[in-house]
Amino acid sequence: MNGDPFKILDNVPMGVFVLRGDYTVLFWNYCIEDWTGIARDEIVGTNICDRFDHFCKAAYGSRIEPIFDGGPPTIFSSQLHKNIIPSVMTNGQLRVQHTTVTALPAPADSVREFYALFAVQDVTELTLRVHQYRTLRDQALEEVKMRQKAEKELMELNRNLEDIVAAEIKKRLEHEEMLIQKSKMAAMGEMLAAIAHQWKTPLTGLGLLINDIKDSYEYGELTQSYLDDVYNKSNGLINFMARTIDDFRNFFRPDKEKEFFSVKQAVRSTLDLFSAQIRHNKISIETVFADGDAASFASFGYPNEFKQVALNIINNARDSILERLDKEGEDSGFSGRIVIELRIRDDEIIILISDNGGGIDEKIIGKIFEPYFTTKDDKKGTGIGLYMSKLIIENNMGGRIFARNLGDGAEFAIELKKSESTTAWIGA
Amino acid sequence: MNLTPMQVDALTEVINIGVGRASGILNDMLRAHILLSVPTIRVFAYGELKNEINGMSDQNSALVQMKFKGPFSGTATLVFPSESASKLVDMVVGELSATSDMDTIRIGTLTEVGNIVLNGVIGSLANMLKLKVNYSIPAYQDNNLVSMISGASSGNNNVILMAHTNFKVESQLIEGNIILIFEVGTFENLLSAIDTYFGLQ
Repeated sequence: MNGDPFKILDNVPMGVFVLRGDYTVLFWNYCIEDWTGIARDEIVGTNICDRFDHFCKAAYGSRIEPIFDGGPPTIFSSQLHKNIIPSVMTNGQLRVQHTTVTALPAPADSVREFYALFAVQDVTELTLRVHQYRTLRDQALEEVKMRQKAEKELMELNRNLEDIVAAEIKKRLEHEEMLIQKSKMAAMGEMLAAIAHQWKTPLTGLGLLINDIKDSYEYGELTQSYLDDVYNKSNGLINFMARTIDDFRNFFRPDKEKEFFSVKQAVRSTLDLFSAQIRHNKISIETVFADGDAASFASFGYPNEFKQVALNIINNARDSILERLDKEGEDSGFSGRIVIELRIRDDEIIILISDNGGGIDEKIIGKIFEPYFTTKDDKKGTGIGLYMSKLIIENNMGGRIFARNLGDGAEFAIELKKSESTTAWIGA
Repeated sequence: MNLTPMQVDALTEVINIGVGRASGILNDMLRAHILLSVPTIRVFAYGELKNEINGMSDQNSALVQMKFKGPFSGTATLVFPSESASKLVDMVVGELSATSDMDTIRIGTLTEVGNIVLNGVIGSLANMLKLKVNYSIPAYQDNNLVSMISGASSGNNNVILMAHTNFKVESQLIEGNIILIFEVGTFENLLSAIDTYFGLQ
C-alpha cells in the first residue's frame, strides 16, 4: 500500500486513517497507532471491520458510502459516537472522540473514485470540562432557586414580624402609660397622706383657739388684745397649712424641663418635708453629707423627680426595718437605722441610702428594678416604685442606680453627673 | 425569479428525496424516531429577502452551515430557533437538559444532525445530477437569520432557496429551515442540470 502521499498526516495532532471503498485500511497515522496500540504494519491492508465491526453496520455504512463517491463530509459527534476507535488512556478511561470524514480523490484507476479520510479529534478534556461546568451550573441554579424560596419565606416572616413587633410596642407603651398613671395616683396618695399628717396639729390648734373664743365670751374675758392674739395665732396656723399644700404640691409637680439643681439641697428638703412621715421611735435617721456648698453638688436634671426617687428609697428602707422589727419583736432590742450619705467622686455625685432592715433576698435582688416586680401588695401604694426610679435616674437623667446587700441590711446607690453652674442657688 | 411550475416541482422533488434520505439516516442512528415533513420551497432573489422572511427574522437561531463549490456554488444552512435546537438535541440524545444553553458537546450533536440533513439535500442534489461539487466541513453558528443570509450573499443577485421543513420527534414539532444561497450565475447551472435530468427542455 502506498503510504507516501499520506506521510504528511503523521504530523497532524489527531488520529487519522484512510479507507478504500472496500473498507481496506490504506493508512494509519502515528497518533492513532499510539491511541490503539495497533501498529500500522498490523492493520494496513486489512479490512477495518475485522477489528472495529461498527463501521460496517448500517448506521455507519449509510453515511460513509456517499464519501467514496465524492459526497459531502460526514460528522460523527462525540455525544452520539463517543468512542469510534476505542482507545484507553493511561488512567483507564476511554478517549471521547469527535470524528470528521472527508472524501480524498483516489488514483485514476481505482474502483471507487474517492477514499475516505477519517480525522478523529480527542475531546476528552473538553467533554470533562463541559460536564463539570454543567454540574456547577446546575448546582448554582439549584442554589438560586433555594435562595429565592428562602428569601420569599423571609419576607413573609418579616411581614409577620413587623406586625408582631408593632403589637408588642403598643403593649409596652400602654403599660408604661399605666405605670405612669399609677405612680401619679400613688404620688397623689402620698401627698394627701402627707398633707393630712401635717395638718393634724394645726387643725387641732385652730379648734382649740376657736373653743377658747367661745369660752372667753362666756366668761366675759373677750378683750381686743385677746382677740388680736387669737387672730395672729390662727393666721399663723392657717398660713402654715397653706404653705404645706404648696410645699407638697411643688414636690409632686412634674418637672417640665431639665434644670440645674443641688443634690444636697434636694435630699435635705425631702427629709424635711417628710420628716413627720419618716420619723419613728425605733428608727434613727443619720445623714453624712460631704463638705461643700450647694453649688458643689450641682447636677443637671429633674429635681422633683429626683426627690421622689430619694423618698421612695428612704420609704423602702423604712418598710424593711419595720418588717424586721415586726419579726424580731418590740422587746428584741433591735433598733432601726437609716444612713443617708452624700459624696463626690471625680465628676460624679454619689447618694447612698443604707439600712439595717435585713437586706434583700439574694434570689430576687437582680429583679427588683424590673417593671412588674413588687414584694408589696398593691393596696400599700408605696409611691413610684423602683422601676420608675430606675427610668427617672437612668433614662431621664443619664445617671445610674444600684442596690446591694451590705452588713445587716441593704444599700442603694444613685450616681449623678456633676455639673458646673453659675446660677445662684435659691433654697430648693 | 422566473421558474416554471415544472421546475419548481422538480426542485421540490429533488430536495424531498434528499430530506427523505436524511430522515432515514437519522432514524437509523438516533435514539428518537424522527420524521421529516415534505418541505415547501420558495425561491427568490436576495433583494426580495425582507418580504419573504418577515416574522422569522431577528430571533437568535442555531445554524449549521456548509459551503459548496462546483457548477453551482454557495452555502447551505439549516436553521432552528435557539429553543427548538436545544429541544431537538434533548430528543436526539434521549436526555432532558436542565437549561437550554448550547455547550460544546450539544453543539457537536446539533452539527451532526445538521450535517445529516444538509448532506441529504445537497449531496443527493449533486449525486442525482451527476455534478462534481466540493464541500467545506459543516460548522455551527449562533446568529440571526438576516445576518446570516446577508453575510453569505454578495449582493442583490444572489438566488435564495428556502425549504421549510418540520422535524417531528416524539409528538413534538420542531420547525427548521433549510436555506441554500447560490452564488451569482450558478443557480442557472443547477436549473439546466435539472431540466436535463427531468427532460424538461
